[in-house]
Amino acid sequence: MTDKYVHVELNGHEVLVEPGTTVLQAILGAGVEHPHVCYHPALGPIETCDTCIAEVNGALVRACSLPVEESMKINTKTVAARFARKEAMDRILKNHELYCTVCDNNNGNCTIHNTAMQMEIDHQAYPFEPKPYEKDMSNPFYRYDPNQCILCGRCVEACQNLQVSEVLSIDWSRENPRVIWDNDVPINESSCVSCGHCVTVCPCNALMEKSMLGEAGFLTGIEEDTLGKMIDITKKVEPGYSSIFAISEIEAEMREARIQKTKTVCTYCGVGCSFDVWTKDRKILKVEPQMEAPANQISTCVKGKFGWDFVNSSDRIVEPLVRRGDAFYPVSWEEALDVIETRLGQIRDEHGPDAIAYIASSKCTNEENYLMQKLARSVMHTNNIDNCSRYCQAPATEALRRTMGLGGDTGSIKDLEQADLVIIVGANPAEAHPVLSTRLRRAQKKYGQKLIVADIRKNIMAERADLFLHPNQGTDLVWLSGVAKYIVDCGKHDAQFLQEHVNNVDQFLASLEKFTLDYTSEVTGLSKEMLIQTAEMIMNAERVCICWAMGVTQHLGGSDTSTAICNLLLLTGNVARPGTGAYPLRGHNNVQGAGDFGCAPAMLPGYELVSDPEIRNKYEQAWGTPLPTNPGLNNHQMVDAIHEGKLKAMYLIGEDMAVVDSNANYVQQAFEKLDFFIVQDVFFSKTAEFADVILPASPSLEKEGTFTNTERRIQRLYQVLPPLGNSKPDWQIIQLVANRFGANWNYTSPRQIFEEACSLTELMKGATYERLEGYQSLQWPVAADGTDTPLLYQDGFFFPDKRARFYPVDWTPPIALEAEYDLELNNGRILEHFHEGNMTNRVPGIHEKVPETFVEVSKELAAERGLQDGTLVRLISPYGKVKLPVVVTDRVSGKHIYIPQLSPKAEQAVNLLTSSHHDKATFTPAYKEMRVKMEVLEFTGKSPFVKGNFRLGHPNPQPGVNVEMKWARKDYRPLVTDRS
Amino acid sequence: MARSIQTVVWPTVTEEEKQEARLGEVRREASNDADGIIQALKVLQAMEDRGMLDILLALLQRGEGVLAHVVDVLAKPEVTSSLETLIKSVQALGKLNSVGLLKTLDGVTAGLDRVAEAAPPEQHLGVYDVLRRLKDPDVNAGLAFALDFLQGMGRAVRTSGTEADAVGP
Ligand code: SF4
Ligand code: SF4
Ligand code: SF4
Ligand code: FES
Repeated sequence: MTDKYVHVELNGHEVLVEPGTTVLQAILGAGVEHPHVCYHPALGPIETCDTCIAEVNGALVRACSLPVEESMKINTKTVAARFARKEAMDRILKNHELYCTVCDNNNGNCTIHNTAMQMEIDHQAYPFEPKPYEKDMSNPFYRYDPNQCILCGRCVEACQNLQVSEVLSIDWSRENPRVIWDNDVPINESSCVSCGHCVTVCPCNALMEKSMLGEAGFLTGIEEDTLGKMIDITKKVEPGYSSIFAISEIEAEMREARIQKTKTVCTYCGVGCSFDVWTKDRKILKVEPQMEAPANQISTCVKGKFGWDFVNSSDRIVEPLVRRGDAFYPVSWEEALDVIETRLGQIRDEHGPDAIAYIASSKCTNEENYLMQKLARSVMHTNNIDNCSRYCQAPATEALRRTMGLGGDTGSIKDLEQADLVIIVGANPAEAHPVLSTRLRRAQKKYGQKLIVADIRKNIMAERADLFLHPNQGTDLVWLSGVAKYIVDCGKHDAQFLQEHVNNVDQFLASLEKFTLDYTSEVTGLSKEMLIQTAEMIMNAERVCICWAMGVTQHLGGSDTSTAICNLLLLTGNVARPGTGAYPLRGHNNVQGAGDFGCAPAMLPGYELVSDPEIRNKYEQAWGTPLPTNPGLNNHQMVDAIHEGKLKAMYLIGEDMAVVDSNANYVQQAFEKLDFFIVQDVFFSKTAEFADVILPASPSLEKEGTFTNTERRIQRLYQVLPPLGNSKPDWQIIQLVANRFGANWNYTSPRQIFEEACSLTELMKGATYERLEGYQSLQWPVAADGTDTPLLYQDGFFFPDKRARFYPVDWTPPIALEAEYDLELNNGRILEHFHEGNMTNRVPGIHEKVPETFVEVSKELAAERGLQDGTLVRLISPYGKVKLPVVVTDRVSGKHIYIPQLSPKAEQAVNLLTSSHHDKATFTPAYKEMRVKMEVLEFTGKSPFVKGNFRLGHPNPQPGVNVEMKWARKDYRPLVTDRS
Repeated sequence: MARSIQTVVWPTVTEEEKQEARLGEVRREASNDADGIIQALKVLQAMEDRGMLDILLALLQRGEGVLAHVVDVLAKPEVTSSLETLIKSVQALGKLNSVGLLKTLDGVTAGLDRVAEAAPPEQHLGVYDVLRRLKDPDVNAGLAFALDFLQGMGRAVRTSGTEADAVGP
């Protein structure tokens, strides 16, 4: 029992510690306070500060980096160790002026303040020396103050090795070292993506969120001049630091009283970052990520860290609006509900319940999605309920259900970190799933993980890949199958795994026959060498994960290509083990949850089939109403049904369908034909322009609930702010509507809704709010006793015989168009904005950095057509046209062009160009298969990439903070014992 | 048939209606918290009686100027040195026998009683020890009394829209 542990002696007492821990962890683990300024658990030891020095076996060492060994004698209290730590701290304070009471970082969590207090530093050995540099205020979100920077390098380590944007370094060669951005340019002109990692880990106020400045403290808003004098006085009279600490501690406690810190879950992407939001009244002071956050720890991207000001935008709809003639008029909630009751009631009576359709939202909470489908089914008696995951993720879910049984990522982000090889197909996680991508970049840079990226665009991850595959558009299924066949031909498939766990092996192997290297290479345009190399990398890796997203799913054969990915993973035994698996990267924050909670025509919550009488019976009992048996329409079919005159009314929540559905013109024409249209949203979206009634909803910060991220992880969000104006949380609105139709619901909190929903499902039976308190989370399936399942299928696959199934698939060639449409159109997300930008475009700093959308063209195309940055072009497809400014880049090549989904102006939406063709199995539109032609309107114009766009910067990759260069400086005297 | 439209017709609200609405809000709030308001009025009256309101008003209206002035006064060497004495004596206080110290504070916050009980009677508390105790939620709550004053002061001296970040060198 005890040999699992290492025995060490700490200050004369024996303690047992786990092998592999450091001396510092052993000390802290034993409950002994010990300074450690540069060490941060998310970063590991960087050894720049020397404040953690302890005596180990008689020598002075940095406790943060030394691993424990059997029988080690650790002493933290010797005179030499104390002296060394004091000296280290003095050196730090030479670089940092202590004016805590008037500092916006004095909030009880300032590492320097706390360490100086803990060490009872009362006098400073070396006077503070200002550095000859100005503050850098250029970035809209954060600022750097060289004068307060203690050169600990946490920010550098975070930027180089956790975020891995490789922007920051410390220039140790200068007389006065400082942190620099790229090769020493202002922050806003660097490659900094404003993810905020550096600000979050900075142990003091050298890097601060601008939103905190002058706001956090009671005395921090004082004019610079007066404040300067105050500090001088304080220093003059100051007989020691203790009195300053006394006042500042009291003031910090008082700040607690007026700054609210509330945990929330990010509203943007499917990574599901969680963090504390600091607010003072309605002002958002900052986002403070926490180590306990299960998906992200201290990581964020620019949207999660800095992208929340939209909640206070003056564009918010804060009154219900009703269309009368050619305009909308603000009305009371009662009036709006009257109109809904009358009109929807009429339509239902006249045309039947199936003449009305309901669209829920992957931006809304699980509770709200549950209520929306309950409204449709139990109150309004139709299965016409869907959500936007139809637009992106349905094919991936379909494929997983075909082969393994459950429609969710098979593991967690942790498994992605542990894999030996990660393959990304048709996804751009560096921009669409930013924090998840940091884990892959870190694993690759620090731990040698291998990365293959298959994409038609050379995105950020492709730049970093060990192998970049650039197949012809829409041919992923072919190379995946070709590689599978090669692996089988080499005999390197996992025969034992197949025998024990997988059905349909022979059929599958037979289906691979045609995918010879010759055929594969010809169809995909990939060389045979590349195909072989891909296969070799898979065969040589112990643990493989495959991530994919809309580059795979949004094709005619989206479900089949997703299936080919699952087949390949099964073939090589890369599922149900840590570090392996299938990862369709969910786009919106709650795409997963909207499906989990029954917002799809054929499925009740927990993916239970509407068509199964027993299940229907269960819900009829629970809800006390009969349930409809007619099959419902998915949202693609809804649009067709409106055109056909079968669907008369629609109630749509939190979705700018007029812009984000493909073939936008066709969708907008449909909306014009509706007899009655209710749109519930935070902003007056393009879709809302077609509404008869607009209901003002509250965004995530203004409500309670749960979201489920791409890892199937259910997490709670708490209410940060009260609803603005007369807006209401969606669950309350849905209940108001339902009660107008006799539902008699009486939910007073999201907790009630959640627990009703989960207790009805098999999938999430044991999920309760209590088990999700604070930063706790649950990854479904959740058993009745609350046990969750981070890694799926360890006890067999989700089929009655517990065996996975190969599902043979064949290739569907992409949509063909006449030769005049000579450019291949691709589209996707960009880092700074979310999706079409309804929220992020109302965040001033984000708008400043990326004010407008654009089209990326290749250098070759630019040369051929005389295009340059800022050239205005018109792009025309058979379905519509858009006018956009050009950016010339080598991210795309040849006749390939790329348009972001961002569309601050609805007339620039890329979906005006896309078609209604769709995946055969799931009706997901083939957004990624379109060709267009280009007309040049004006050859010269302003580039859409403005200063502040990180794509214009020049990263400066470094192994880390390069502390050796600090140690080599002439003015550095070592404090540890020389062990050479 | 519903064309896409962007026009929203906001009712024109007259000044009087706005005022009426605001008054309504005040009435609502006042009746919700009548006790508190009566208390507040008493406090105000007492302050007025003692001439404190005038002083406060002047302070609040002239915020930054007053503070700047105070700072200038404080910066004079003789003041600085008496300040020093003051601070030194506060520190000395911190080294007093804990029971004595805590008795001094007793009247201010009841929460400290608990700390006094918890502390071994003869132990000397340094300033740092006292500070650590401040983390105690009861003690901490007791400190709230100081909040209103500092809040007012902070607000008064804050100049809106200034980039008043930390000080330069
Ligand atoms: S990218 Fe920018 S914000 Fe992110 S860690 Fe690097 S310097 Fe900081
Ligand atoms: S700016 Fe960087 S180096 Fe300077 S104190 Fe902050 S984290 Fe340390
Ligand atoms: S957008 Fe995604 S990656 Fe960025 S903070 Fe939110 S959840 Fe995390
Ligand atoms: S914490 Fe060990 S050197 Fe900084």
